[in-house]
Amino acid sequence: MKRLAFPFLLACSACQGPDVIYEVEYSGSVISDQTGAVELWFLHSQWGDDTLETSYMVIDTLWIDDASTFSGLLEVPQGTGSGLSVYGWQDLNGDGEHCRPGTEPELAGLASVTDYPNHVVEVELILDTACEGPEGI
Amino acid sequence: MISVALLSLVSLAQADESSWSSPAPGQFQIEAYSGFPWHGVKASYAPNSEVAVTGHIETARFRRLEYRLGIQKPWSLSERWSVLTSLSVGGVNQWGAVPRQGAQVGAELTISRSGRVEPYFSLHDRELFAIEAVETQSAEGDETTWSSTQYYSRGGSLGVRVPLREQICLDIALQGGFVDSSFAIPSFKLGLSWRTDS
Amino acid sequence: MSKSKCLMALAVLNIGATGCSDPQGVEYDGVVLQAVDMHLHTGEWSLIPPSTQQYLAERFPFPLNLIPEALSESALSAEGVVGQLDGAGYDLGVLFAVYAPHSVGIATNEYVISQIDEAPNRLYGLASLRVDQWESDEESELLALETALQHPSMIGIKLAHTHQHFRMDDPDYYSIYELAGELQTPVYLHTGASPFPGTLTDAPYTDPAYLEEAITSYPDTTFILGHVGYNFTKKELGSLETCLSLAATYDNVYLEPSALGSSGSDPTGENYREIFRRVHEEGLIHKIIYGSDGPQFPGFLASYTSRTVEAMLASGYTAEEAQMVLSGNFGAVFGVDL
Repeated sequence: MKRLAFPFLLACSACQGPDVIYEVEYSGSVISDQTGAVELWFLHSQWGDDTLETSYMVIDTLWIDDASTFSGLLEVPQGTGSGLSVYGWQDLNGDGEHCRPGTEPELAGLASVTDYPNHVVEVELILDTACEGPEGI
Repeated sequence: MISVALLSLVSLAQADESSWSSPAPGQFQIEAYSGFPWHGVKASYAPNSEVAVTGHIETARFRRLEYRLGIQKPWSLSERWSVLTSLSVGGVNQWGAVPRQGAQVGAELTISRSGRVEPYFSLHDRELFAIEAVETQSAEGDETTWSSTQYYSRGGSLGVRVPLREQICLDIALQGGFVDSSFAIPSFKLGLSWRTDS
Repeated sequence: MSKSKCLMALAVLNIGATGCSDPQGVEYDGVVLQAVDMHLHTGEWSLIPPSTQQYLAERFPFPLNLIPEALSESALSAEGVVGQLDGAGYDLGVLFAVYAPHSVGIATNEYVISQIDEAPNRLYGLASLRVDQWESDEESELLALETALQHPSMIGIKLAHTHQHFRMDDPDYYSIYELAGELQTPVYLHTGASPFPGTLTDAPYTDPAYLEEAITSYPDTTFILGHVGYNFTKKELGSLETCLSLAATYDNVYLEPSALGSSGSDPTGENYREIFRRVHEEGLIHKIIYGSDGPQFPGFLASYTSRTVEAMLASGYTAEEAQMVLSGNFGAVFGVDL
């Protein structure tokens, strides 16, 4: 029954192409003068077509315990995005918010993954800019 | 205005009171219909008095295509009243902002009363097993995986068949319910059926 | 079947969901009040990112989800918007320009002006600008914004940090507030987490507390805190108290309660009633300007008005107070004679 079902199901799915995911094994290090957990944002460097073309579209986010080494697997949806960048900010006071008014400035940084597209990439992220998002670095 | 139109249709109705819900043994029947939002063709053939086989293809706004093969069995409740049970298997392809595709199985129950006009009421349940394919490109190579999401399309129709000639019948119906587990705006159809001699 | 889907079904069957052709006003506790909707959208389907197109289409009932562009462009046209204003009893509506390519798309200043010009006695507009290439384009974008504001019906500026991906506390963008102050044109800002794909939900992009530095730095600029900090992703009050505190503390801060009171964002209406209760309790009725975030779907403006009237009645707003909310505060803040 399964042998009969599979081609039938396949035929029903033949009209529309699959969604494509580009898998990236990443490793890297975060360099900072401060201490605290770091939130990393993995971003399409460019995203969108024509009038809607813009920069820095979030793919995924990750928390690491401190400015240290990190590694993992990133699934990058293929479509209108290109390039890969990593943004990070350090949560100095542990409140989960970046530079909440009235708190100490918390460092952030942005790095472009120069050897992307590649299934294995390395990145070094230096946190040296206070209270900025990726758009401001 | 509507009552005038209905009376006009009744006046056109022929005296032939054989049911149009399913072909008679040895009879081939085909219906073409249009409306909002469905347009389609359905063909039926009854090899015997027990069952009929059906083929059905329809489209909604030319962005969703449904196709199915089925079998149906008529049950006689009385001289005039009958019930038709149907099972079908087929597929769906939908394009646009909400793409969808997959296999669909369905069941339908119709109760009708034969006569100069044939009112009918039907309930249907179709279960779509939508397939999503994901191609993952990794260092080890490319791999495609499939997952499935189930959607239901349930609802009912209230209609009337008006035999215009022995071999031609008009079908008008209103339909409502759910499509792909979401509310569907009520629809209507106007169809014309033709059948061979019984 | 939800009421909104019934209304859409009726509209499609053309059984007159849009009501009378002449505005009648909004009935409140037996009194007919003049009303203005300060938050309405227009635009073109093709300038919405595909992910957001899918998000929107999935919310349309079948078969409207099959060709969503047809329904969308009909509803978002000047004719569609004015039809809904008529149906809800509104005199005026304000269309928003949007430059948010990451999330909700683009409706240019020029397009908004073209729609306003189709119904100049019924529509005003808020202009906006692109901020995603700010380092290189700041000067040209500010110039284009100022040019758009020359149109007599463009009466303010619209920003949405969560949609446009720039922080509320980033001084690089304060030149927008400076321009607004010079031109004496109010700035509307989306506050609170947005449910749309491609938005940033982190605090610096959504929490109005991050706006306080700008508010104090530009006392001549009027800041309207849109959606009063509502968290649309969790359907919670979010930063409401921060918005109330800012409005109570600073003369140049106002509030706007659009979208959050819809059946989709607040199914029981409890949150919407609480917001009006708190505004009343804090003595901030003179600070709240009504908007709906329509047109969304046929009948939405009327539906949102109904929920707003109910929320105000529940908190004991007098007819005079309701009049302030529905139009008086708009006229005072935007300098529009009503």
